[in-house]
Amino acid sequence: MRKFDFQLADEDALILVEAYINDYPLILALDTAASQTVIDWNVLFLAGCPIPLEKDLKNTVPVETASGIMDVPIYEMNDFSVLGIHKTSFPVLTYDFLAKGLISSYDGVLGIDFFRKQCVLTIDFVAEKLWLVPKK
Amino acid sequence: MTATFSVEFKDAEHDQIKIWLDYLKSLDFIKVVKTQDETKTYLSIERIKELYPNQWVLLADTQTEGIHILGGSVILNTPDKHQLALKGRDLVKQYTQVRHLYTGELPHRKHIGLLVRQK
Repeated sequence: MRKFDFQLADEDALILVEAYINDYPLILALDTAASQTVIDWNVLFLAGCPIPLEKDLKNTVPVETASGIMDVPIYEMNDFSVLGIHKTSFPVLTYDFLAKGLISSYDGVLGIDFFRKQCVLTIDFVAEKLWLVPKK
Repeated sequence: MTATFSVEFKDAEHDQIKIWLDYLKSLDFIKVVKTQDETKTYLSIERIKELYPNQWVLLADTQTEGIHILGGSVILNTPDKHQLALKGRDLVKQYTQVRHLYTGELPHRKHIGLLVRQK
């Protein structure tokens, strides 16, 4: 079992966790209402991913968001770690957050695709801790 | 609109330099006085925000507490995150403990987390 602390400083705060792409650290918001993990294209590029410029990303999937359905490029990462789990083949949605008018304290959203059928995730909102039990 | 100038002193040890810089800092219309010692040396996060307001900065040799950045050495700063990605990609490989950060105030808003991939 792995234990992690988080802080919900105010009523609008999110559960932020540290992730690593090619050992480069970034911050993701844990979102159990997201079926898919999304990461800012700028950060993928900064982390050294061999990713094309955002305008040249061709492989897109339709995604239902809070503001409607949009086509979002998908990119497969081969070195991705969050909460002690490392994945060598993990597809994420990516787009230029800034170009979409999104400036935030986090670099993306960690969706339930990261955990699905792989671990038990327990969130304690009172103690501000989460536990992760990898499934054997 | 802001304007930035740099000044080069003939003698780095001249005893008038500190007096002159302190005088500049005291002027109402001066926003920030940056010394060369403060580039590529470790700075607290508060000082970084003061020196590089509303910028995307790339920091090396960062110190952190949990996910919070306590300080680091500024190796790149730009108001444009896209430029940070394009120019910072090679720098990330040259330094250790590199992280990025926005020094401005972020919008305070509610979040709705719906994000579902369509079949």
